[in-house]
Amino acid sequence: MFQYRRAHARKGQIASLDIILSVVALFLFIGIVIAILPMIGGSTEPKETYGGQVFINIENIGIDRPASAFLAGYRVDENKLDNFSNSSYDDIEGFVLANSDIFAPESSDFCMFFQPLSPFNGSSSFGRTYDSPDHTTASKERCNPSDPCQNYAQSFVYARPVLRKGKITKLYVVVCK
Amino acid sequence: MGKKRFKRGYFYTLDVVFAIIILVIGLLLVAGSYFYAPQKVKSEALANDITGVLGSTHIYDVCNDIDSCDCSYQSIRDLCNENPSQIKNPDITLLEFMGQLYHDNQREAIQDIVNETIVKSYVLPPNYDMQVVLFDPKTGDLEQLYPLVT
Repeated sequence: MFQYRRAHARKGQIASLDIILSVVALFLFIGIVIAILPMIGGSTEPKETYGGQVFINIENIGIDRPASAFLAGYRVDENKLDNFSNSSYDDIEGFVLANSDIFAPESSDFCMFFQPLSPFNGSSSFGRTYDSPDHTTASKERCNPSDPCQNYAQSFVYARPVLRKGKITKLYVVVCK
Repeated sequence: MGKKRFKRGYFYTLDVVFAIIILVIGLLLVAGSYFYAPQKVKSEALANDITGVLGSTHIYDVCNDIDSCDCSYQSIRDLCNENPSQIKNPDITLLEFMGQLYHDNQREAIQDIVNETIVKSYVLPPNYDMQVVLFDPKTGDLEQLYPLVT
């Protein structure tokens, strides 16, 4: 009788160990999936968005500053683009990032460029992004088109095909948050 | 006896490890294809933008001088050099020009223009593909213009 009880208890211990091990394995599995998913899915990778509010805002700059409204539909006016990029970033930011639920001008910055990269007003880009992770040093009126949101948590990429200098090219506005 | 049971334990553990690996790989494959699938809203916006830019780009925008066939795109330059009278009206847009080429039964020329202006110039994102389909009101048929079906 005593021996029977001991054998029974041992079986019970093995069963409990099995359950514990399977629970641990399950958690491990869930952990691996959670850790690997963002890496393969590129969910943190910026994705291009078409038809964004940003381009409507750029077109609407003409309401207040007609000389800087370089974008009209799918066409870029070079003279107005020069005027736009000659403006101070702080002056323009409010117009470009207006009417958005996602980003506010106070906490977000933008970087604008054409792809393939072509210069306007002596530079390949216009915008401001911070050069340091603590956001103390800003590269005013210039940003890095190859990695505009290096020191930010999130990036939103807006693209629109436009006609510029006799060719269809792509206008990018990357908003960093 | 004990040694034998221990050995069997190894097999079970190995089984579990294999099962987990297979499960993880399967899940990653499914998740990967889900993430890379083009979104419907984005595709619609992109299609809208492409027709928009083709519909607002005039021949005179891409050709400085029609008489000397000075055009920024090789496909249009070739058409012009072949027969300058093909560009009858420089005021028409690229979309209208494609309509004219369709009427003149020059399907290959349409394909070349779409290829050069949209696909090869990276206006179309790399993970996307596109079709240009024309609805013929005369026959009620849909004609695929790009890519050309031979």
